[in-house]
Amino acid sequence: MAEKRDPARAGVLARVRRAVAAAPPGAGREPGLGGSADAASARGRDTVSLFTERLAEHGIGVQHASGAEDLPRVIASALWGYGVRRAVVPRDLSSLWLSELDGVWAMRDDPPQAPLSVRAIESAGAAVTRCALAVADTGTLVLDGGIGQGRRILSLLPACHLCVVEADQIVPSMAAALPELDPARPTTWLTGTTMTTAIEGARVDGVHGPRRIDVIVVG
Amino acid sequence: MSGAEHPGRARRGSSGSGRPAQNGPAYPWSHLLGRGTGERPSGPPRFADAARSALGDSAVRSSRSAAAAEQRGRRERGRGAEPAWEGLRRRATAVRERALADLERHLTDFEKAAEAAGTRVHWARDAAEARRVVARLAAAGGEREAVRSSSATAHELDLDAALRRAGVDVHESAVADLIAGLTGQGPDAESRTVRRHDRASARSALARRLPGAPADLAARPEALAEAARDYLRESLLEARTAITGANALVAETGSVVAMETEGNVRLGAAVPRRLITVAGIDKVVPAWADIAVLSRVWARSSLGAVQAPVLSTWSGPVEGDGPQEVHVVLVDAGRTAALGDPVGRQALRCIRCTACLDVCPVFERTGAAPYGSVHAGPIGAALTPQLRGTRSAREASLPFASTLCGACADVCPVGVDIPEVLLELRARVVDERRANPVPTPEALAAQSGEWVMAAERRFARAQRAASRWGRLLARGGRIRRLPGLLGRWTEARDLPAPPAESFRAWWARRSRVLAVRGGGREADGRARRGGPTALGGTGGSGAGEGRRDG
Ligand code: SF4
Repeated sequence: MAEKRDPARAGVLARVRRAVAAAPPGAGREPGLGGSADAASARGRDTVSLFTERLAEHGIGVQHASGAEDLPRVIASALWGYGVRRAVVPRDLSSLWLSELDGVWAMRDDPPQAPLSVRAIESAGAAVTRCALAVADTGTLVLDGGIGQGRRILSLLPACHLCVVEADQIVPSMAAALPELDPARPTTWLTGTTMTTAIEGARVDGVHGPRRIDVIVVG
Repeated sequence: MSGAEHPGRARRGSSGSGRPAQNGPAYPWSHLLGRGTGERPSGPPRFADAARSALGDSAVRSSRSAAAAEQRGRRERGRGAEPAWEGLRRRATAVRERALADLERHLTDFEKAAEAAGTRVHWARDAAEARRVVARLAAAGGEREAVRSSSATAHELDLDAALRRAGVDVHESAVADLIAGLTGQGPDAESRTVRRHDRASARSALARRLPGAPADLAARPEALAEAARDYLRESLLEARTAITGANALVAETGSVVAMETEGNVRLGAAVPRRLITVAGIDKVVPAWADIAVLSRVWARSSLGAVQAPVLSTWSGPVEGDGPQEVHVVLVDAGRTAALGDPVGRQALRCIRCTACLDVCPVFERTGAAPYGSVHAGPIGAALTPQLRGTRSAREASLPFASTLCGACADVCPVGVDIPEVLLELRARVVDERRANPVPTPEALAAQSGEWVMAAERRFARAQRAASRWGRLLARGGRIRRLPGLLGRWTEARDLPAPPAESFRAWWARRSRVLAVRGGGREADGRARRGGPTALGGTGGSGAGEGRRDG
């Protein structure tokens, strides 16, 4: 560990030590923590309806599938609605989900053995994925590269992202979501579509990342 | 006071270098009038000097006010939707305080966890070292290009210049930064801080300078953003090295946390082979769970939204997904100096939400440039002098660039009491200047005041003189500019013209008159003319009522 003998590291840490000793933090001045207000406000409400309400506020379309047998039809009709020819999907997305596609070619991305090229992903009109979790009170989709989610660019480059959320994946708050995730995985929290206000403060949607996100809630 | 006076005088007497020694009883303020105007410290301009040109441009000022008002509205609505804002704010403050209180342990924990996840952690004591480290990392293996997402720390350290010197071309990946770069605006520019451009200048920058932009580009925000986006996406997809900032570093897990609206960090952390994150050591937070409260207050204070459109975290390379070489550069560059100050350290809690900028009456009028740093507005005034020290005139002038109205402290989501920090820094600047060989105008004015007020006769004479000169200088009852060095004081404020007769003069005359004749009629006549007779009459009782009402 040559890093440990790095003079810069030793220098910074020594200065930090001296500074904290020179100005010890005020004991007892730490503000009280109180309860987790955001979780409290979401509890006692039906998390699914709160979640779909928030998605609508962010301009995200929501469709419902009553169960696993209904899902392929809802996915097929959503993709048909986009009018796309090709959709990219992760290697491990259930093929049952794609069993009713009509006129849409589902391209599987299977890195590192058989990855799609960045250009192929970009030129596909849509991506279909699962998510790791969803947060009700903020209307957030959480991806962590787990089953059915693929690598990060898969849901980033296509113009539309269709995300399947199972009802029991919806947690009330971000505070409830964090302990369920593995920090060693890269996580991406999506709340609405991306946007820029760089020109006169006018909101323009979909800078990097899909212009359109739709969610299918199952169950 | 007197201790400071003597060495000052001794030095004035002995300094025969520049100007001839003065003979006779030197009035302490004679330096202030006319003389000495030439000896301005060299180096970057003081805040007030730099602000003057910004104040002159009324079109820019009104568009800035409109933008600030819009932002305030957004934030008000966001906080209105937050049922327990004060509680949230307290918890966010506690997170930042806990992080700083045990910073050494949190930094070493972060390093350990990040390295366990495969990230290489680097350290830099100052900006120059940070520039060397980043340039070395970016240029390794003969790389010639990098994309950099928007980062205040990168601008603060002036990374781009160092990268270019190392032969690495830097492409900015945020829309506002791309346009700023195309129009040649530097890191202190307004557009870097408020992150917006008007459509006419955005159009001319994009149409003329952007490779591949259509010549007939429409001056609509959608069309302009799309042209910028297409170009940026290409450069992000082609890039093999990405450089990002961070909103937080999690000690417990070794994670980098980045929040954004455009998605360029998300793309930069997903495509290029090499990822370099540059962050101040103040960015560390203790626990993974702390992200919940931090991201919430940041989004509410920065965008008004419940969460940023994209929040990304990573702690190291992942096989088959994104960068295979992940670096984090931890930078001190003056942060430990702030940390060692019991009052000033709270500025390190800052999470760069920019809320305090939008409520600041000074920033609204002057814009970002006079602050001379990417950290502008109230927090810039509180942080930059701590990071860089107060030796230069510009940094020393920053703590005074405030009316201390307190709007920034009210709005800050992590409870930084900016006016308190500014007052502390003002005291420090004054103390340092007291030991300075060239006394500042303020120090001299205070000394002259002491000299004048120490003797009754001198004070009376000075008042008569001030009254005469003051009325000569006044226009419409206000003095807008004092002569000589005193003019610095009136740069930022008007001075009411002094009354024709001072209270002392009037009192002396009244006593003489009263002594000679009963005085009744004389006093009545004055009262009708509105002269200074308020002592025992209606004016006095009016003031009394005023106090009771208050
Ligand atoms: S100091 Fe200003 S920018 Fe920093 S957190 Fe507080 S309000 Fe936001």
